[in-house]
Amino acid sequence: MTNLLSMRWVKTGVGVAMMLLAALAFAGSAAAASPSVVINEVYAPVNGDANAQWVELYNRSNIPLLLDGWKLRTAQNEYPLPSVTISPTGYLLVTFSRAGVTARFTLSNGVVIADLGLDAGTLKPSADMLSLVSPAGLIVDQINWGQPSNSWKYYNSALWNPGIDPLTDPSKSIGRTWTGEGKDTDSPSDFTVHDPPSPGSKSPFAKDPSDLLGRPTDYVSWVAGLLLWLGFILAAFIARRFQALSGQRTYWQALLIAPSGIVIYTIIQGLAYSQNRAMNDGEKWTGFTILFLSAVLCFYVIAIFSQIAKRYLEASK
Amino acid sequence: MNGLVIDWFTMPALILEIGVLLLAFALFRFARVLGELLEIIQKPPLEVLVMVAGVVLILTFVIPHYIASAVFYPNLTGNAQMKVYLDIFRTISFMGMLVASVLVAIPSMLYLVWTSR
Repeated sequence: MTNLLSMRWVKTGVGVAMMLLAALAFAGSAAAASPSVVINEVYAPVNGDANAQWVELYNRSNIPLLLDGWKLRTAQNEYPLPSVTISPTGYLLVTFSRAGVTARFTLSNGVVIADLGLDAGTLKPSADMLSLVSPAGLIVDQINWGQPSNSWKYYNSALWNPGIDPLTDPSKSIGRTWTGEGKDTDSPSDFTVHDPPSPGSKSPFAKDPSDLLGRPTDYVSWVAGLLLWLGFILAAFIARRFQALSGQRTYWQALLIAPSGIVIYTIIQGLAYSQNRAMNDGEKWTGFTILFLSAVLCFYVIAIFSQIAKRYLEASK
Repeated sequence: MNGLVIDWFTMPALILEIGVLLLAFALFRFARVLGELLEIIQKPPLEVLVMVAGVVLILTFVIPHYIASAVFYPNLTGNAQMKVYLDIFRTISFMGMLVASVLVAIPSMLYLVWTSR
C-alpha cells in the first residue's frame, strides 16, 4: 500500500490536483455572477383572470437603469418594454393590461408601471416562460414554469425542465424568496409562492439576507472550515514529528496538502452565500467534489500513517 | 409529512455528505494513532476529543445536510417554511463543524507542545 504512495507520485499527483482544483474553483466563482436586473415576481395563476397578469422586475444594482430597447419574451411573443427607468434597488411592474391589474390589485403609492398596452395577458398559466432581453439581444434573466416545450417560438436550452410549479391559487403569486442582494442561483428553487402578491413593490413575504441566521452563519462557516483544515494540518505536523522521532516515513507532506479541498470548499460556499445567499449547481458540484476528493486523500493518508505508526509501536514493545 | 416530496439520493449533495463522513472516519483513525502517541509520553487520553469531533461532525453536519437536501430542497418552491428550516440546519451544521474543529485542534496542539520540550 505504501509503495503506491512514493514521493514522486505524491508530488506529481498533488501538482496536477492543485491545478485542477484551482481551475474548478475559478469556474465555480465565475458561475456565481448574477444579473443586475431580475424577473422578481410573476402573477399568472391557473384559473385566474388573464387581464390581471403582471410581471415584476427588480433592479439589484445601485445605479438607475433605463429600459430603452429592452424586451420581454414569453414562449410565443416578444414585447418591447416602454422606455422607463428602474431606480436603484427599485421595482418595475410590467402589466399586459394596466386597467385589468388595477381592477384586481390595490397598488402601493409610487409603483412604477410599464404597460404593454394589451387587452389581456398572454402568459399561459400551466406552462410558459419569461426572458428579459437586453438591447444587445442577450438574455439577462429568464424563468419558466411548468413543462417547457421545444415547440415554443422562444424555446432555448437554458430553460428549466421542469420549471417552477405553476401557480394554482389566484390569491398568491410566484416570487423570489430573497430580496435585495438575495438569492439568485438560476434554478427554480429561487422561487416560492408569495402570499400575498406585491405587484411593483417589496414583498412582505420576501426576507432580507440579514434575516434569520444568514450573516452570522456565514462568518461561522468561514472560521469552521479553516479550523477543520487546521486540524488536519496539525495531524500532518504530528506525522512529521513521528517521522523525526522514529525514522519511519509517514508521508506527512501528503497529509499537509490533502486537506486543501476543505479550504477551497469553504471559499466557494462562503462567497456563494455572501453574494447570492445560496450555492448554484455549478458551485455545488465544484465545491462538493473538491471536498470529497480531499476527504478521500485525507482518509487514505491518515490510514497509511496509522498503519505505519501501529507497526512501529508494536515492534518497539 | 403529508404532501412532502422526498428525494433520497440528491446529487451533488450526497457527494458532500459522503466526503464529510470520510473526514469523520479519518478523524477516528487519527484518534487511534494520537491515543497511542499520547500513551507513550504518558499524557491524558485526549484522543477522546478527536473521536467526539468525528461524532459531532456526523451528527451535526452529515445528517442535517442529508435531511436538508432530501426533504427541504425538493419542497422549497411549494413551502416557504422550508427556507427557514434550511437556514436553521445550515447554522447547526457549521456550528457543529466549528466545535468539531476545536475538538481536533486542542489535543493535536497539546501533543505538539508536549513533544517539543
